[in-house]
Amino acid sequence: MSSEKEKAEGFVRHLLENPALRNQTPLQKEEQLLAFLELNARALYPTLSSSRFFPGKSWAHIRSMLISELFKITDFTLKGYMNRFIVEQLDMSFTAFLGLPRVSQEEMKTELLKLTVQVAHTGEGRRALTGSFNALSYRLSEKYIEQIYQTRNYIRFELEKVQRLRMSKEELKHMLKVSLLLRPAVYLVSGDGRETSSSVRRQRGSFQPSVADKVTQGLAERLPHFPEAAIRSGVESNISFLDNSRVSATGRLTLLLSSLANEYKPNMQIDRGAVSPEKSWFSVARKNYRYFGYDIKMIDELFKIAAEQGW
Amino acid sequence: MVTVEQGKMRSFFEGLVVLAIFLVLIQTFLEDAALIGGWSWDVRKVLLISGFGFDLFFTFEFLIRFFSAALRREAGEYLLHRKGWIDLFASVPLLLFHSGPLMAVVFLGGGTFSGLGGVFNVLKVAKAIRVARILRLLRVLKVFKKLKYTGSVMAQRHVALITSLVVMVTVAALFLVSLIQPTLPAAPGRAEVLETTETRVLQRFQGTGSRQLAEALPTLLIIKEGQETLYSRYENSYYRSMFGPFDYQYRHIGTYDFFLSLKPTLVDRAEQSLAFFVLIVLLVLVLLLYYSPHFALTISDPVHIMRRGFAENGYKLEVEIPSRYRDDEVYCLAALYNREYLPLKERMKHQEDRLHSDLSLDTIGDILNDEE
Repeated sequence: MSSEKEKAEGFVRHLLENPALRNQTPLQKEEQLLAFLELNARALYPTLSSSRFFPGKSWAHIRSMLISELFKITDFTLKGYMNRFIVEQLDMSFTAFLGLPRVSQEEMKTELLKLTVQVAHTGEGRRALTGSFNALSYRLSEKYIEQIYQTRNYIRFELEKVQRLRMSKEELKHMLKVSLLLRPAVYLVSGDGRETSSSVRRQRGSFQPSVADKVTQGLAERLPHFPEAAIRSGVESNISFLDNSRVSATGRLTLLLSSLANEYKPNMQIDRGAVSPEKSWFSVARKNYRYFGYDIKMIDELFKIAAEQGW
Repeated sequence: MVTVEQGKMRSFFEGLVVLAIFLVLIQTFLEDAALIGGWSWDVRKVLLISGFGFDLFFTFEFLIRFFSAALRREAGEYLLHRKGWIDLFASVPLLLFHSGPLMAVVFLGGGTFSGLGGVFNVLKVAKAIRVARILRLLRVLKVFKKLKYTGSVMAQRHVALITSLVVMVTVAALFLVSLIQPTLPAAPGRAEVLETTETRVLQRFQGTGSRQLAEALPTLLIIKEGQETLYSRYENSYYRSMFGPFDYQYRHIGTYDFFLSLKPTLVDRAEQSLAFFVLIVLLVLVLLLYYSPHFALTISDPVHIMRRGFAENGYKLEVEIPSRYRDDEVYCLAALYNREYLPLKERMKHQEDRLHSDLSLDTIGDILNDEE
């Protein structure tokens, strides 16, 4: 049995080391491998059921073993990254600006880490975590907030004047990171505040504003030391701006950065004559803003930033 | 099936041909430069012999390729579609009408003096054929694949076609002009005027005043009467080192033998030939280095990006549309691709939740094909 696990782990590790997946985050690699196994089941089965691997086993058995090993490997990396990121890099001092009495950062970080681990163990949550995880890994909030603060346009106005986040640029970056981490947490809580395993993901874009309050409450129970505004920002990032024009600026920005990062490929080879990846993404998002519920003005500004910076 | 050994042999042969093509172009240039620069006959002879060697090599190459294609019943395909016509025009006629006769004269030497006039006329026509060597540049177009901007098969084909046409038309025009020029009732050219003047002056010679005659006639080299040399412009060693069998002509007028230098006429022709050579090389370079990138940037690159966008699920880059080309059909299509297709693709992907993986079975062939 252990030999089978070793073979499965060896096979999965071999696939993960494939150059085609170089530069991708663990969750991206996991999605790629899951898709690869699904798409190539017929071609893989003769080899994987041979005496070299798992003789006499059904595809369902082999697949389940491979996926189990894949999850273990991803979990290990993910846990390590999240632990390092939340405990060592995340600065929760921004919460002071959200009217929350002084609470130990450690307590908040422990709650957040626990919640993130739970999210990673729900099927849909894990998938939804990809965009947030990538956005954090590739430091998208840092690079865009830097530019947003320099250009002093619509987004900065929305953040400072409308949402009244009169915090420093650095603190805002950390608030966005927390918002990104909380975005997939909606899959843990159903509309009535109870735990859910239903596919909220398929309802993206039609996540009703009325449900948001209940989900925010449900999450607040899990994150008792967290300011509601931070939780709400993450939850609202799942709501279409067209359905609710009161979605917070951080919520709208979270949605855009997470969606951008979802299939983000850093250092990708750009064909001659092609528009740069992020500029392309914002350009397409601009045309699809109604469908995905994006804030068109925010897209316009981010598009300009990406164009000017050659991103 | 081509074995590894055959493959290596073929690639060695192709490499050799490409090297020979570059060398023959240099040789063609040097042959004219040597005349203009007044290089010694020994050097020019080496260049002529090497030219003959190249023509022989390319004739064999053409025959091997042609018969090899014929054995596979692909002779027509080879001649028409695989640049076989270039191989033909730049090998057999050159060997038969240019370097072949030249070699005959070089090795038969002084014994052919009397026949030189006829040979010279053949060589005049052959000079035009010699330009066909430049056609070989087209054969090395594939070398330019490695240059920036010419990665696209379509770009390569179009650039190769237009380059072939330009070179072919120029060469054909030069060839035709040199063929029909002698038949045209035109005013006499510089060479003809010189020849007539020479004849008139030489006819007046009565045995005295040879030095004055030589001063009046710069092309006059030697005057002989029977075995006696009445006048010689240079020492014999100079003639041996600087004059080849094509460089002078012999005329017998009255009792006198006159040897006249043909070098001024030959230098004129070499300058003309070099000018055509440089013109064609520049045309080819402009087409390869300017037109080719232009074609790639404005046609094949946008098409390549759109093709990837249609074929690859995860490819979502837009086509950059330069404002000055936005009315081009390709960019109109690209605008539609950017505006309609990519957003639709994104929405469809979201709706269908279609599976996509950057991994392919080909990339893990090592583990799939491992034998126990």
